[in-house]
Amino acid sequence: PGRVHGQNADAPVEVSKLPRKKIGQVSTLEQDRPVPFDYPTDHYLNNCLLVKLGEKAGGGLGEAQDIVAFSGRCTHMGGSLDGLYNAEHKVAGPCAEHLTTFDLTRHGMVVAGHATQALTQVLLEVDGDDIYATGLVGLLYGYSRNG
Amino acid sequence: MPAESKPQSSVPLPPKNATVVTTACDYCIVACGYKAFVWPEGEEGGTSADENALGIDFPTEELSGHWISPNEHGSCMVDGVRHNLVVLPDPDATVVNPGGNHSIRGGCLAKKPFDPEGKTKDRLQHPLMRIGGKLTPVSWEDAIEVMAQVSRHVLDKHGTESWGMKTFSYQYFENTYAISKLAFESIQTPCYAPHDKPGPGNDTAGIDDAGIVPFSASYDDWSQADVILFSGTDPYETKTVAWTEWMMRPGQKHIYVLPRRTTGVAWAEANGGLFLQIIPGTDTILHLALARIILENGWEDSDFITRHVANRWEIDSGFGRGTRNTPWQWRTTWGKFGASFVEYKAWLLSNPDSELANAEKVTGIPAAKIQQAAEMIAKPVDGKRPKASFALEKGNYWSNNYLNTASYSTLALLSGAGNRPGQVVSRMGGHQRGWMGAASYPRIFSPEKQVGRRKKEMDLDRWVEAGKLRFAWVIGTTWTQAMAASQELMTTFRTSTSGSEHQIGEADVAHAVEVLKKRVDSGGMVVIHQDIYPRGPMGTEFADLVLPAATWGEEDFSRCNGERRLRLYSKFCDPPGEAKPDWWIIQQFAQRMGFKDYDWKDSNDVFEQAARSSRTGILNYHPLVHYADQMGIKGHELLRRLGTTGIQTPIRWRSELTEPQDYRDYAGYYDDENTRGAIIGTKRLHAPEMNYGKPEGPTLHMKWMHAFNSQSGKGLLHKTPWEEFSDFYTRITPKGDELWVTMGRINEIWQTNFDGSRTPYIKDRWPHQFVEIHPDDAASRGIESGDLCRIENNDVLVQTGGFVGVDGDSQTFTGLDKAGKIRIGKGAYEAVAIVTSAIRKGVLWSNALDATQPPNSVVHRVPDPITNRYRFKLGKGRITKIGESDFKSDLTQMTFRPRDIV
Repeated sequence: PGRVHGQNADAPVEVSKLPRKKIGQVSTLEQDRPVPFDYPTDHYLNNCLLVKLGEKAGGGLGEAQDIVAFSGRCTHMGGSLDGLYNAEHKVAGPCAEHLTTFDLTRHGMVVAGHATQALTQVLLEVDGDDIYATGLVGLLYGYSRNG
Repeated sequence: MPAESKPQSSVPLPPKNATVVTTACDYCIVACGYKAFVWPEGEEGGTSADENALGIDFPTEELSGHWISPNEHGSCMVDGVRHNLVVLPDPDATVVNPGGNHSIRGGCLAKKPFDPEGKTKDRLQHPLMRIGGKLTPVSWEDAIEVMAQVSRHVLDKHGTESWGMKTFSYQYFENTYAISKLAFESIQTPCYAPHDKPGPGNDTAGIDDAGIVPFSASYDDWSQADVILFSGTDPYETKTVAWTEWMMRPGQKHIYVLPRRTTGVAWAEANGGLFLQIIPGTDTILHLALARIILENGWEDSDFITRHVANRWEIDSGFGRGTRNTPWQWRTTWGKFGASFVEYKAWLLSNPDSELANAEKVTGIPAAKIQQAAEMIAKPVDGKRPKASFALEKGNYWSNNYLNTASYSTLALLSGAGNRPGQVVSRMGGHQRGWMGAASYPRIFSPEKQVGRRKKEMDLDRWVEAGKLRFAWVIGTTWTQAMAASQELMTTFRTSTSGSEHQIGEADVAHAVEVLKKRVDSGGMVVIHQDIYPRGPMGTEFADLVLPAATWGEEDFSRCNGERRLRLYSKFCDPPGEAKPDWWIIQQFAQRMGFKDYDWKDSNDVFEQAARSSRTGILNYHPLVHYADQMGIKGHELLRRLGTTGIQTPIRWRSELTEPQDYRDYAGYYDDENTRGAIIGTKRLHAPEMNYGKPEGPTLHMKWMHAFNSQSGKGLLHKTPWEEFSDFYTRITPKGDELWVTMGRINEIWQTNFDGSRTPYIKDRWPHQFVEIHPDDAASRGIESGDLCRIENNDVLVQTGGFVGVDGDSQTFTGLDKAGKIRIGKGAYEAVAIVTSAIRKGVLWSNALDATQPPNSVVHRVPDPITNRYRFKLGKGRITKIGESDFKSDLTQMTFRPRDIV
């Protein structure tokens, strides 16, 4: 996997290693067409999105390092970001509740808004054509502990 | 500079036995209610409701307000032992931030307290004296002794007008009461300026002159408006929850007047609102044009004007034989500005400045949009007037202080706003309302005088520039960066402090006093800097003594928010080292000077004494202290019981409450069954429909509670002749390849980012000062997002002298320039470019309060001659690329995505 969050190379980021789950295929992923999936469980707060941004991204996989996945829950108050991907600017949001936006090319960093954590990033692996979710970086909204 | 934030996978839950206290946010004016959970390290609560102090099962539900994000967890010291700390927006709040809504700033409060092993370990912990150029720890006793002896010398030899203070105006009643008691009652110096302006007095003089209290509205009032005209502010940025909770409402339409398209603007445009993208500094012309359209079409609120706006007789009535030339009196009564409706209409309709075609040309806003805005504000639909409210902030009053605010309040009054739910006029505010003046500013001793009028409050910066100040006590503010022509002001300070030959060389009180006396006697200045962190350059370079202050969470403090809501900010942890609350430091100094009546035992003592000074003001909480006394408890204790709801000032004592329950629940009240009577808050000022009953017990019924704040109780209109400003405006308008440089706040950063820069999450988002530039301006200069740029102005105007106005134009810009009282200085700052069409072409926009790269460096230091307020928003400069910043390609810090996506 690529580095999922910007740290000094010698200060590795804390990653929640979670069950490996197949969430998509590189060959069928279309640019700017997010694919919804649930991770790590099917709890309603575990909705996530997998997206090929068409632009190099922090933690991005694939040839163009542009395949990323994130939790679909706003880290402000848990509003759902389903269907709120902005292809022009590569951001998730604005959340319908209080308008927070997150930059998906920069590890889910808040662009504008109220979230006190970057959007939780899903750690990915590519095996052949298959894309797997293997863990999380950042705490999932609603939880006190990932997994 | 590598990224610092470390995303976490877990957060400890507070165990059931955690200590829980209520508080409010330390930052923006909205002051959302918070709860702090404190418990020893090593313990942790469980995820079921019966295992944690929240009483909630985890995972929580969406929008529950109970989730604890990792930045809502931190550490603090309690009795010398490191503890866990969770600072959570109060999920049970029913006012301000119902259900635990919060901003990104307040949501990171847990990272604020002192942690000797964390990012806040550089908090000031001991008094420091600059000995041999190095800040060295000394005892409180020695520090205070040096200050007292040097102060005595300065006062005796050079007079009170050479001893001054520059302090925050908002960091809690207990502290500002002590500060103002010292400055205005004990020393009686006119040399005082709050953190955000060069001298005391009104921020929005034209709003006050209209008889409108700038914080008269409740948040609930805004929610009832059909349309709001926002001038010079997007409350989404740093008044966040007031906007997301009380204004971002289906059906409500917003009109924004800003040079920059923000998130709030984007929301407005997507919801039937309007964006008037104005050329900086031209608001007065816009207001005149809007008023003209309204009057030409007969859309003014005639009933309201008849009942609530003063006619000529009412303007002049009530003054008796007294003088009429104190600042607000001369502006209102001498005919230059103040006008009846009939006089105003005649003036406006004959004034070519107010014509629509002229307004389009001057403001840069298409005429059709101005016309549309006037219709949205005032045109009746099916015979019914829209409920229009008016919200303003610094983009308005720090561009052209008097004319902008007076023309804005006049427009509002013509539209029937000012005293009804949904039809209000108020500031949105910046910081909270924490000023509790112990005595009046001694204007009589001010060196400044208006032409033909009485004394006015002084401009302390110009006094420093003139070499008149010998002792400066600076508390909780970065003076030089916060004021105009920052770089020039730094040079002035440097010359008279660190540049002086008289420097302390030994850790000896007698020696230090001797040296500092020599310095002040030879024209130099002694600087004391009191703060929570080392702050440059005032503390790190200029100050002879640096004093460590205790702050939020380290002492019981009180303060009001933007709807006058008073809360207790409870203590829950230790201050660092020997740091002390500001009131204590003032007390030690005052007692050493021999001043009387400073014998407070704790902050509650100060709070209770200060209540006496609050009585006739809008922050009156005296009845609360009275009621607490009747209950046999301390004032702070009663306030603590009111929790995050608090109580809206002015507080009233009543033998029996007659207010409906929803009013009580909103305004706050306390009815103790064993105590006679009850106390209740006041929701909206200027409320003619309110029946307050008889004034009972300690309650005062001030006129402005039910009427406007004027002699007659009616609102006052003011003419605003553009020629009062146009000479200066023409001179500072960018020429050639110069651009306007304007500035403001950004949501993620509070003030100078003194806390955020120590919170990795915030620091990674904004690691450097930035400048927004329009794509056309960027392209012609070869600038891309992520480039490091220099913004330079070699034509920074600085007023020197001109303290006493003698004749006709001696205080106008033209007059000052003619008399040689305008010098030309320089200024520059560096910023990372963000190329975006959100900013108007020809305008640059930066973070106003970045203390490392202050954009005020390129702002002219020539105050509005009518009110002595700077035109902070009207800087100018040339921008050039000096290289590429790391952030251009680093994907872990800063983002260049637009903020106006909806």
